[in-house]
This record gives sequence, C-alpha cells and structure tokens, in this order.
Amino acid sequence: MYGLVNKAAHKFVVTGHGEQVWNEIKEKAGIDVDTFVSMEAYPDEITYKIVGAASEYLKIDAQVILEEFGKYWIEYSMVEGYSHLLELAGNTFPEFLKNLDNMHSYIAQSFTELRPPSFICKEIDENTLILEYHSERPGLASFVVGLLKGLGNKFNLEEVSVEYLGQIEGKENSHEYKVCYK
Amino acid sequence: MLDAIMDAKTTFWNDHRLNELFPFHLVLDKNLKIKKVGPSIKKILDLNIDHLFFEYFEISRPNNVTSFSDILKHKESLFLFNSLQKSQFKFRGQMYFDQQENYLFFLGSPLLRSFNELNDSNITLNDFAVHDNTSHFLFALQMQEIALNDTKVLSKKIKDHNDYLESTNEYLDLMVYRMTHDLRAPALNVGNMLGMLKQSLMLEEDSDEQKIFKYAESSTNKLLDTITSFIELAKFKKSKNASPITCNLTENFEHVENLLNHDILNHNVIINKDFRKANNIYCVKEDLISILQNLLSNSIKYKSNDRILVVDITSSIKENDVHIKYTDNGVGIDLATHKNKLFSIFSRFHSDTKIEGTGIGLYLVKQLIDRYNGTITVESQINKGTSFFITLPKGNK
Ligand code: HEM
Repeated sequence: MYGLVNKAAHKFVVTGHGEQVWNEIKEKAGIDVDTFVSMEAYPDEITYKIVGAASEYLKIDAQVILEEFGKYWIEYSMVEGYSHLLELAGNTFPEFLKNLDNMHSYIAQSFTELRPPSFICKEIDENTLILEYHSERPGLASFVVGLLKGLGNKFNLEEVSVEYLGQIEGKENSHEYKVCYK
Repeated sequence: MLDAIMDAKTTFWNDHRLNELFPFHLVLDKNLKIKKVGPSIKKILDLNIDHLFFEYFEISRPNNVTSFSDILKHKESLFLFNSLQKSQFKFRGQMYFDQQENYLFFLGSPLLRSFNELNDSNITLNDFAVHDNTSHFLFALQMQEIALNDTKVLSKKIKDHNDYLESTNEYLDLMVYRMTHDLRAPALNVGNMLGMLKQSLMLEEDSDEQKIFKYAESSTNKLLDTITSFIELAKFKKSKNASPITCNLTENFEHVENLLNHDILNHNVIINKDFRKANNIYCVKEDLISILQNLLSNSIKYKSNDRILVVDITSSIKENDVHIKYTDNGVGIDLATHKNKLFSIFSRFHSDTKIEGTGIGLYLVKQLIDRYNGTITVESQINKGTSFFITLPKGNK
C-alpha cells in the first residue's frame, strides 16, 4: 500500500502509545524503514505486519486494531493535508459515501501502483444505506467499519451504527455493511 | 404513447441529459442572452435568465471576442472566461452552436488551479460530471502537495543529520588536534628524556637496567609512530575535497627525501631514481607525497640488517597513465600468507616485533591510489626485497 497508509499507522501507534512502542512494534514486525514516503508504493506485507505486530505487542485483537485505525484515519486525514479531499468528497455523510468510489478512482488515476478499493452505496431511506466494499486485499473488513464510524464523527452525526452484513457471495474480498445514521 | 411523443419532442437544451453530462453548461441564444444555467454553475453564481452573458462574464481567451459572430469564428477554440460577480471563478470549455436547436452551448467546467479557488463554494465531487477531468486534476494537485510536504520533512531530517555529522566531524578534528599537540609533544619529550637519562646514567651493556631502557625507548617510538599514522589517516579523510593538479615526481620525491633525511643518512640508504620518461602525475600534491613517503619509510623500516638498503624508483607512460615501479632490497613480504590482507587496515606482515609499524601505511597508499582509479600491485621475495607497481593518471606536460 502507499506510504501514506503506513505513515498514518505510525502516527496512530505513536499517538496512542508513544514512539517507544512504535519502535518495539517495528522491531517485532521486522521493518527497516525509518520514514515512510506518502506517495511511494510499499509491499502490502508491511502494513499487515505492522497490524500483526501491534496486535501481538499490545495484546489487542487485530480486528479491533483495524477498526480503531479506521476511525483514526479520518481524524488523521483532516489534519495531515487531506482535509481538502475530504471536503471535496461531500458536504453530508451520505453524499460523501456516494463519492467514495470516485474519490479513490481519482487518486488511482495519478498513482499507477495504487490498487484502491471500490464502493457502491445504495440509499435505503433517509437514515439507512447499504455499502458494498470491493477490495483486492483480504482481511480489511473491520477497517471499513472504523472508517465509517470515523466519518460519522467527522460529520457530527448524532448517531451512526455500522452493521457488518457479511461477505458478498462468490466474491472473496467483497463485503456488505448496513449503515444507520441520524 | 403520449409519453413517447413528448420524449421525442424534448430538445437537448432543456433536457436532463445536459444537466448530467455537462453540469457546468450555459445555453445562450443568438443575442447572447442566457437561456439556461447548468446546476453546478447555479451553485456558485447567481445568474438571471434572459440577461446578457456579458453582464456576468468577461472572455479572456480567445482575445477580442465581443459578439455572437466572434464566437462562431472561434468555434474550434478553447474558451476561458471570468465571472464578474466572483472574480475567483473562471471557466474553461467549448462553445458549440447547434443549428437545429438554434442555441449556443457552453460546455465545460471551472478552471481550478488549487483547492483554495473552491473556497466557500459548496462544490463537491458530485457537481462534476464523471467524465470531467477537473476533479482528478484537483486530487493530483493535492497529492502533489502532500508529496512536497513529505520531501520538505525528509530534507529537514537530512539537514539535521548533516548538522549532527558536521558537529561530530568538528569534534573529531579537535581530537586530531589534541593528538598532534597534547599527545605527540609529551611522547616526544619522554623519548628525549629517556635518551638524556640513558647518557647520564651510562648503563652497563646487557644489564637489566639497560634492557628496561631499550624496551622503554622502543615503546615510546611505537607510540609516536601510531600517533603519526592516525594523524595521517585523519589528513587523508580531509584531503578528499582538494582538487587534483599536475604534480612533478622529481620535486615531490625530493621533498619526501628531505622529510626522511635523518633516516636516510643514518642508514646510508642508496636511492636510484629515474623520472625522465614520465615526470607528471595528475593528483592532489599531498596525496602523491603521502604515497611516496609511505613507500620509502616502509623500505627503511623493513630494511635487511645484512645489507645496505637500495631503493630503485622509475616511471614510464602507458596511454593515459604513469606507471611507477618502486623496488627495495629489504626483508620482503611473505605474499603466500599475506597477499589478501596486504592493503587492509592494521595488518602487519613482519612477525619481527622489533620493527615498529602500525599497519596503516599500505592501507593509506591503496586508498589514495583508489581515489584516482589507479592500481597498485606487489611482488616480493623473502629476504630479497619488494617491488610495487603503481599506476596513476598522467598530468599535463
Ligand atoms: C481523504 C480521504 C481518503 C484518502 C486520501 C484515501 C486514500 C486511500 C489510499 C491512497 C489507499 C491505499 C490504496 C493502495 O495503496 O493501493 C486507500 C485504501 C483504502 N481506503 Fe481510502 N482514502 C480516503 C478515505 C477513505 C474512506 C473515508 C474510506 C471509507 C470506507 C476508505 C476506504 C479505504 C479502504 C478500505 C482501503 C484499504 C485498501 C483495500 O481495501 O484494498 N478510504 N485509501
């Protein structure tokens, strides 16, 4: 994944647990990178190893870490230079989710090694929508849950709940979520 | 049925397809009166139907376009125009006159060069047609800015690291200075004192006291030798930034002879030199002196006790290189055992511990020659002597 994801993971760990814990996790994961470069493609393995090592070191379930990281990613992008992108992507929560797919496509257009996920957003009623997440990568379903909750906070929603509906039949890395918001 | 007829009648100019495909469109009549405004333009500008286009806009490209017929003349051109209401909004696109519909269409999108130009506009990705490249462009801009910030952070890191290295270097320089003055002078003093003491005590040959004195003297000499080598090593690292010039072999070798004059006279060393075939080398003068000095002082250090030391040094030219052949008749080196380590740091090849040496000399010679992509090879026979073959770039005549 692009360096910006690993950079965010770094900051996520440092914010919660301090630089020392990050160094321990990095050591455990066997990663020899001092500074991640945002727009450079790194092997996915690195990101998975960070999550794995963090889970082991902090004794927190990897799925929980991924969800927390998802929430953190939204906070992080609001301050780390991505706030314009977030603003452009929508003035309301549902509008943002409808644009999620195109937003990742626009980024993919500029960066050839990017393999971002696709999304389809179906509005059920004014408080409910179904989000389909289609990825080329395994194991990130919980990450999306955190991202959606984080987004809810960003839009100052009164309430947002994300229900994981399961894998979409016949598609290994596609998942479905029911999102209720007020 | 009626629906179908109605559908067929719907013209493109007031149809939803135009809104979806070109949300930033304008429809004008032949008098350049505004007849319709695209939904995305409506979001940022307040335009009234049937008012003139030029009430709201100023065309900046093509030049001097003021009428409908001017516009038709430029039907192949890219149009750029500014909003007179909100000067930060500029538009780019195509003017297309449809004869059937008898309307002039502007099809395009805002001309944006940064996110700031969208400030207080509520425009989001939805307001651009999917095919429109503007949003991609905005994303690319933003990503570029992020990459640039990364670079700034990285270059700051490198600079900090550089500062750190510089201060470490300064510290090392200081250490070297200390070595030369604070360590070397006292060591020299000890040597001199020992000499004086020995003379005034007039010790008996082979007495225990005399052995202790000899040992003390040789230790002091070893210490001095080590200090000198370290100073040379430090100089070697620093001289890297000097620029090479044409150096004269005769002159520089004489300089080295002067430096080692004391030893040469002491041991009656015979030196045969012949630089008539090649006398100019392209290198840093201090480097050449260092190479020659190390070779000659090695020969003196490892001379045979059975015969007077004879050194032969000659030079010749092959293509762009000067070849130097340097030979002595000293104790020689056991190449079968030491060949691989010959030019590595702190290696000594003479088991005779009575001979003083630190093992830095040949390492330094090789490092200096490497700087000029030169070569050094060695031939040696135990108890017969050693030859070095060196190539260095030739200098200008
Ligand atoms: C400013 C906001 C955002 C930016 C700039 C952004 C950009 C990116 C980038 C660059 C990647 C890495 C893809 C790769 O290296 O191949 C990525 C991955 C991902 N993004 Fe976003 N993203 C943003 C917001 C979101 C949001 C709000 C969601 C909500 C669901 C989301 C869902 C994901 C997921 C799940 C991945 C994991 C990769 C995968 O499944 O293959 N992103 N994003």
